[in-house]
Amino acid sequence: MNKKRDDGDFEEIGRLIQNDVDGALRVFRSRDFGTRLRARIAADERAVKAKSLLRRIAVPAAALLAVSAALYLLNVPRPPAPGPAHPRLFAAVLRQLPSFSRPGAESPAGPAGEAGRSGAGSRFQSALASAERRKEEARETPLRADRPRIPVLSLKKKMEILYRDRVIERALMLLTGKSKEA
Amino acid sequence: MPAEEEAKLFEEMMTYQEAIFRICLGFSRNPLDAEDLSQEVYLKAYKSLGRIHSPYAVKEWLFRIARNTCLDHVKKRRIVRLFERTASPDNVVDTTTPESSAVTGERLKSLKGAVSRLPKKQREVFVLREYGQLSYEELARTVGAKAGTVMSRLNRARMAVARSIKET
Repeated sequence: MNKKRDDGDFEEIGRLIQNDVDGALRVFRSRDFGTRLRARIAADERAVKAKSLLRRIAVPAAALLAVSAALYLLNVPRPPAPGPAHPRLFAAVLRQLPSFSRPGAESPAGPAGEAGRSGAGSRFQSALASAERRKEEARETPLRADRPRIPVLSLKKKMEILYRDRVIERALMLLTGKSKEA
Repeated sequence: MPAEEEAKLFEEMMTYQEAIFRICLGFSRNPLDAEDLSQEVYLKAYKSLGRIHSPYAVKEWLFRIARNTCLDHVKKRRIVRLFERTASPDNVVDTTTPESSAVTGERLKSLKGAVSRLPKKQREVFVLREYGQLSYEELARTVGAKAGTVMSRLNRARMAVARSIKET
């Protein structure tokens, strides 16, 4: 009994759905779905192509813009680079430098003719002269064979000596302090 | 996949356009929405034509796309309704059927309301079977469940809809 009633209900549901579908399908068939779908697919493909073209142009353009902006921001105004030194000026400066050919002949104080020279130049010349003098003295006084040779101490040895000195110094300090107290 | 083969597959897919439209109508309850949804289904299918491994599975694959697209649509519509609060499931009725009398219109209205109130799993089985006219095997493969499960879901859905229609 119940089953029969259910079947009747189901049939009615089926009929209602069929009516609904039939009406909608009539409209659907009249609208030519296939043509509309193909048009939409074509439009979508065109949109995708246009987007990809836009992207192809936009990416290099953006990169170029970024690079130019970075260049503009990095373009800090700098003073112009100095031009090449004039050969005459360079020669004049060289002439003002102390000569290396006659170092020994000039005294550290400098002769009166050297008025045009700079202070640094005369100091250099005097240092050079004294060095020459020391060389000559060394040549005149030959090394004596009987001079005692100073032994080269190792760092450990030096530290030992220093430590010993310190100990002696402390002991002396203590002694003097005690004697003062006494 | 070669272009020729793709075109052939697409032509084969187009033979199911009415079945797809019926399924979309069952979920959307509006012929205009159903047509838009059908277009969406075919667009999705067209874009992923290369993913079909076997040309024999086109029909089920297409039905699966239709089912997923329609369920997404229902979910979106529910969210929109939550914000709008103006549209109720009952006011979406097909008014384009000139033959439908006032009584049939009322019953259809209550049927659509009852279908929309069904739980998701029962609703999809009901729509795919009653609107899409899928066989039990196709239904089971589309939904991803056993044939027995599908049959029991369908029976429960039918009972619920019949009860709802009787109450109104």
